[in-house]
Amino acid sequence: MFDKKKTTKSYKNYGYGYSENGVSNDKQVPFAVVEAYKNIRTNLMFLLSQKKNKTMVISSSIPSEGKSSIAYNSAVAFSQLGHKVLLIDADMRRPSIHKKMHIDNSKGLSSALVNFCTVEEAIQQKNAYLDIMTSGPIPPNPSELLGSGAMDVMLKKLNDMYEFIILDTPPINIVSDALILAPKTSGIVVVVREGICTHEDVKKCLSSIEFANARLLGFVLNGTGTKEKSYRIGKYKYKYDYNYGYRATDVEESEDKN
Amino acid sequence: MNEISPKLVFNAVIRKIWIVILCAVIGGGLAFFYFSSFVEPTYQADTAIIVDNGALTNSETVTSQNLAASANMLVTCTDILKTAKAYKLLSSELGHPESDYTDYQNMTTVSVRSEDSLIIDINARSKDKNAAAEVAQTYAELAPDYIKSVFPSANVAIVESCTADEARQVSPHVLLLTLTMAFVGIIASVAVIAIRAISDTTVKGEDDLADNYNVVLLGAVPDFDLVSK
Repeated sequence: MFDKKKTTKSYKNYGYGYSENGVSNDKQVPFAVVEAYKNIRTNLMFLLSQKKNKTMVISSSIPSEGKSSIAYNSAVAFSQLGHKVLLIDADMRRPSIHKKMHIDNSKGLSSALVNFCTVEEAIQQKNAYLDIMTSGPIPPNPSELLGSGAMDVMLKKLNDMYEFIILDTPPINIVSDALILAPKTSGIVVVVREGICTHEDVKKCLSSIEFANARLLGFVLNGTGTKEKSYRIGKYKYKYDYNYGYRATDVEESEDKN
Repeated sequence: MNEISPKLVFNAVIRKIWIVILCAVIGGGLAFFYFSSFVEPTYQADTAIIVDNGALTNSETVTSQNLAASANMLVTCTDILKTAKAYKLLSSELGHPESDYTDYQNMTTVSVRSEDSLIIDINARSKDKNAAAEVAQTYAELAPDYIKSVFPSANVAIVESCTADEARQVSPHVLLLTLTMAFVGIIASVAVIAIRAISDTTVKGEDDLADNYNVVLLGAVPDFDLVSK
């Protein structure tokens, strides 16, 4: 009564991207959401521009922050630019990509790592630019598999096949799978869900990342409540309204935070 | 727990102002309903007598000494009216045994109206309006003769009478209690909202992340349901 609590159920309809047509063709997806993912894509491309290995881990502090949604929709956003993208469901404890996509999970990452199938057999094509590797059957030792030499070999092979690889991993505060994978990639993207994730959770997550000496690419804030956004360039502040695209509606001087 | 910021609390209360209003309405409404429906009212009948030592009414001039003397006598007369004997007389006058005098002692109050006043107020309280008026009026009527029996030179007269219709409700003060409970509702709801705001350690937005962490914000994905509306 005193607080509007966001629950996992509120994300039932968070189906952006979980459609055949993808980002820009899905007329049901609000403009604000589309632009948000394009923004994420652009920033990641900048961050990874100098990297040969454009592989990133998507994780979060706690469960149900929208990692899989962010991972999938980001992959779609990348593929929209004509980049060859592979989305790997590296959460071999509670895999969800195959459920949301309604695709087969009999072969996937786990089966490829233990040579039950080839890497190519574990990959399912979504469209011309986007492929998906589901988690595969849930193994008893997911952390060991992710940290194994087989994973290194597979990622090296996949890096030659794809321009971008996105790995959806379990939450960092729960298991260490993301931290095991992080050194093999260009870095970790931490998804933070507004109104759900506490600062204690975030701090613990950042502490774990720092301890593992992993590279933190940045935060993605999920489930924001405001429509009007602002960004700073130095001392100037611009505002824009998602409904009408980017336009400088107001310019005001403000103290430089840095 | 967040640092206690007045602005944080104020914003939280403003966002939930409907809850504050609702609690005020519920608190006030419940109080009004309860006190007006379930609590038996108490009525008070007010009478008054004027007393002087005889010098004021019997002389052509009024001197300050006479006034002071009368005022001093008033305190004594008040004490006289509070004696058991006086109440026994009241009890028998009302048709009750003298042993019931303590009931009337508890019902009535006798006091000097103000420091320099010559008026003694006689009030009676009861759940029964008629009873309150009867007791107050009877006692006011008895008072002159009783005082004169002690101070023969005193002049005593009734200046204020009271009938049952004139008896007023003194308890419960429904309006005051309603407003008090509404205020309590406001305070309680504001306190709960403030405590929840202060103890809410969740991430509240981009600015909250930017203020607390030196980490790049790659993007902010809005709530799908919110932007879909």
